Amino acid sequence: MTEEEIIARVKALYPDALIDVAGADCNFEMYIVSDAMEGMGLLKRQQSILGLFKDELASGKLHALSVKAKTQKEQAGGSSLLQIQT
Amino acid sequence: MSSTEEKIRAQLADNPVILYMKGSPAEPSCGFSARASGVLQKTGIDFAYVNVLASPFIMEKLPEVSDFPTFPQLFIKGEIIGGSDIVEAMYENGELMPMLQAATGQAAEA
Repeated sequence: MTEEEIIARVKALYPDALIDVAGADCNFEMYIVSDAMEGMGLLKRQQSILGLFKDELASGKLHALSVKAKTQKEQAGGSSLLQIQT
Repeated sequence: MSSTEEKIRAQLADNPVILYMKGSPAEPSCGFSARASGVLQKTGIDFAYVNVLASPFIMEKLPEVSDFPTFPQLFIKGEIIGGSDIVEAMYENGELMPMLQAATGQAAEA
């Protein structure tokens, strides 16, 4: 697979995502930032993205895809403290 | 249920912490499996592992059972936790250790 193919597929699910893909052939590392992942746990985030490549991963066309997925707030390094309006 | 799936369910039921990986913790066959088993070894908690390269039926069936398409896969108390990215992230943010301790009843940190 090419980087472009991978990005296109993720964009279809997370249109707002900022995506950075590094790697080649069958081994990729992906960094993705999307606010659509707010409220999703680590596992759900990975399942949603890896699930897009289920066939390629099963056939070995894609050997490995490492995914780091964050929301914009998490990316900015902001704590998850909630500011309560008073 | 296929016999392979029954075998997987039995492994998950019998082992509170189990890692499905390529190779063994001593000789991992892939960088991701090396990372996940390395993290588990650092915790000092006992864990079971299955070398999926030696168990092709499990390698084929498990992604369907767990809804997780890649290896390694860590399960705690029969629940899929995730692969190496998640194992590392949860070790670093401090979530992994208490889960492992609760599952095994071990105090840990060797």
